[in-house]
Amino acid sequence: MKHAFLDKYSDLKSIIHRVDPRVKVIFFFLLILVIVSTPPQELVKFLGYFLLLLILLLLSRIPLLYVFARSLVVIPFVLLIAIFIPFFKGGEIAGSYNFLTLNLTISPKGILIFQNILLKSWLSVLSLTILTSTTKFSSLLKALEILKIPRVLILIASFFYRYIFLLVDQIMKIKNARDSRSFKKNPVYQFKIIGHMIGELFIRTYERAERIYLAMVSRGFNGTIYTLESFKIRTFDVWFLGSLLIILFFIRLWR
Amino acid sequence: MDKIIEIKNLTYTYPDGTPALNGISLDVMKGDSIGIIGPNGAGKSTLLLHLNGVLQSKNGAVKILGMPVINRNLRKIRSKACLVFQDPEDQLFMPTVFDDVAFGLINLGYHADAVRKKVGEILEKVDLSGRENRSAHHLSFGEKKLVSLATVLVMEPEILLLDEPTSNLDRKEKRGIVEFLQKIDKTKIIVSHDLEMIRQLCLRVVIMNKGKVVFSGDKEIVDNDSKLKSFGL
Repeated sequence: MKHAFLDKYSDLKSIIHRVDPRVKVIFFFLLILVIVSTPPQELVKFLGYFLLLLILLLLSRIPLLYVFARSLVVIPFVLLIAIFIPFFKGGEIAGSYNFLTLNLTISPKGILIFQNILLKSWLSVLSLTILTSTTKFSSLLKALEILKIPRVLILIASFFYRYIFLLVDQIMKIKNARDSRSFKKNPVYQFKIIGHMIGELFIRTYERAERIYLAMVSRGFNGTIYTLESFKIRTFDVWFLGSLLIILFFIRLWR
Repeated sequence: MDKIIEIKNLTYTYPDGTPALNGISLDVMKGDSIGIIGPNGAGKSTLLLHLNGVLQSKNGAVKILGMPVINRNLRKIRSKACLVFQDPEDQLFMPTVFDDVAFGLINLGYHADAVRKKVGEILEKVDLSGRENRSAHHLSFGEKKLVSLATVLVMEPEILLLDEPTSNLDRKEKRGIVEFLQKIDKTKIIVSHDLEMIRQLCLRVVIMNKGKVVFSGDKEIVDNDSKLKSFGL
């Protein structure tokens, strides 16, 4: 079975795709720092960041809908955490509701913080989505490695990327095997089966890990994985980073 | 002739108590191509794991190129006797084909330029040039098997240890692998159920059953069904 849902559009050949992965990582990291540090009341600036991201997105020729759908993935989690903030922030009251015995009040300050969290998290995820859809996962890992991210984290991510597809395949196989023999619709019984499936998956994964380790040892692995670096900074990369950073700080510092 | 592999009275029991090998003795000459066949659970793959020191037994002795398989020699032995696992998903664990093929070379301490050159050459040999930056899960099963072979051939081993090199392949892919292996002039130990491939690639056949070598001799036995049956196959 084939899957390509992690870095589906990373094989395109746009200007953005061709930028050195290290440059992209640095730029998007700075971008997120700037977004997060912007004061919440300056809404125009957020619009500015959004326009900047939109331009990058259009240049990269990735389908807009795909990226926006992707970027919304974290919103439910953010909502879950942030939804109560408007009710708990003291100060001026913007509105109050009586709900059963509860008297809920909403403050403008609370709403501002709520909107701030929502905007910043969405813009940050949007940036990361653009980064991961314009960079191959393997190049991204290599870039992070060169930028001195701890090797263990990189290795975990690299094995994750290599084997997530296999794991999904295995789940599908087990599921098919269950569905082709499962007749009872009793939910309690189904739960029991799901428990067995998880256990089975765990054992299979564990055994695979052991075999992979043997394969690594057989080729001289002794505790550290080394890879070759093959990036070259071109003048275009310098221009890319320079001009975008100027625009970025202009938006951030403009009054 | 030089004995390239010497196995003397090798006995191995898995940590959980399952007996796997029971007094195996086997000599392999340089340039030999040996097919090891036998029913499932006979200990064929376990034997292979002993030949590059992944498993080590206290009972019996294994010598590769005259070196006993002990921790002190492992680095040398693993660069000379290379094992290809049955499942390419286990063999290929790096993010890209290039990284996978380069993995062993880098561990052997080759210089970056030499690594790039050798990886390029070997991928050309297996007809997979241009796939360097692919991820293994974007390859077909046959291609994965070829890359698995490339990951060890690039280390220029003297002995190739192959566990089921043709399992799950369609006829065309299988032919590709067999023709490729025929061209490789190294000592080969092939564990397989694929008698057709064994006949094409090996001169000598070893039959294992229940952890023992029950037959060792000419490859003609693979065509003699009643004899195979008498050895538990």
